[in-house]
Amino acid sequence: MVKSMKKKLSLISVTIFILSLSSTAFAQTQTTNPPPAQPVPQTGTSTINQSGIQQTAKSNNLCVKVGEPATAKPASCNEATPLLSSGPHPQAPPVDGDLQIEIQRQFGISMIGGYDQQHMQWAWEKFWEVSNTNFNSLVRGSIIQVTSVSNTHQSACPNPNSPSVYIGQFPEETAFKHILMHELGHVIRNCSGRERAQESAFIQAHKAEGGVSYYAKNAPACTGSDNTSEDYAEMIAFYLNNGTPVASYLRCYQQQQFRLSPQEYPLHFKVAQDVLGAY
Amino acid sequence: MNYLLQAMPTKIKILAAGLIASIIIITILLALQTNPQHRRTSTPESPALPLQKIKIGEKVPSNIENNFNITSKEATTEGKVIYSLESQNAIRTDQIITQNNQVIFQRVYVPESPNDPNHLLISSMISRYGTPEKTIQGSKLWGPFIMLYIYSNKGLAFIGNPNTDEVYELQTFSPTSVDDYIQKYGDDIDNTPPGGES
Repeated sequence: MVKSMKKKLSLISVTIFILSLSSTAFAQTQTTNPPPAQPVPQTGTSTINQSGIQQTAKSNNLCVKVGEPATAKPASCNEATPLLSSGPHPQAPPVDGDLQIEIQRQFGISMIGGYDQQHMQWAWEKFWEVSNTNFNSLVRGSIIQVTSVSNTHQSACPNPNSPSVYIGQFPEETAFKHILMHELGHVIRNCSGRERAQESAFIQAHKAEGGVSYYAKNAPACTGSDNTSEDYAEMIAFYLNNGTPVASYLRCYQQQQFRLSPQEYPLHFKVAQDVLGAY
Repeated sequence: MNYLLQAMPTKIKILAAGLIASIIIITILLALQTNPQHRRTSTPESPALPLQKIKIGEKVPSNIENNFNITSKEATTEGKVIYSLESQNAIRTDQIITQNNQVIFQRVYVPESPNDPNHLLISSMISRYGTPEKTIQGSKLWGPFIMLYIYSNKGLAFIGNPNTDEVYELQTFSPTSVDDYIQKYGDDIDNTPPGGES
């Protein structure tokens, strides 16, 4: 009886010991080997921009060699052509009601201070256009306050009490849309956490490739800002450029610039793609 | 159960109690070892913060150049040797500074993944070390929202983002005054007036 009790007791003790060991080991695995972060999925309806596809196809039409053409290809085919749209992007549906309310309802972004109807419309279009990426979820909750063009800047992270960015009403559509993405690009870097914003990979890209635009290379002289911060915002804005040139009259945008080129800036392009998803 | 206990000889009872007690002690010890919070609470003077590669005030080990993935070494006119170390941060690499054959300063880039056991939070550093002697807003590398937290008399400083609660960089050094720290090691401080990102 005593012998069998001894046996049972030692068996129970060994089992408890093994269980406690394995539960601690499990806890350790949970701490050191987390599952990889998944990109944030986008939801919501979207209309495909068919005209964008047609335009892209049309522009490429003459330069594609099929069989043995009798005529030489146009000289323009040999020029370095800007990257056009990376693909079809969601198109903004028409809005009958108040655009300010619709932008808030659809994207969780407040545009306050009296933006005119035209700038509200451009913002509505741009937020729709990038809605197949992670962009809107990363800047959700932002308050955008109207200001003068020269006072455009990011001031805080999204919060319900104060504006996170101030953006002037740039008269040119492409400039306004670019600056909208640029300032909210600062929000992504400063407010999302380094892992989500791919900080280390970005620093590596900045060191290896420099700034992606004239402004990103000359920010201290242009606005007193620093190149690293401005390069991040420019990377986001040019990655989300749909192929239209950014106006050259913008301060410190000395030449027309198009979409972020994966050939010219492969490391920046990869960072932007990892942060935002395919565009 | 009572019957069983009564029927058990005293020796076995003692053995069983001892066994259970040792299991509990071992479990507690293992749990403490694997708790990352516990690992983060050491003082900078001990070799302790797991990120610290070498203890401040220690003699420079003879094998320093082989042990720390050193990418460059620079001797200054003041008799200091600045070692740059391989780091996740390609622009502002980890650093060890020695003088008179002693380690006087080191800085380490804090891993960005929240799941990394060496990831640090500003809130946990402040609850551990108290209110900093001085904070300075603005970083040359990370922009105008970034803050430097200085505990110069404890030989500790860190750079962090108050918006995300993340510590970006940890520095340890021989205790000194705030002004001396800023003069010697405050090279990332952006002196332009705090403002937003343009």
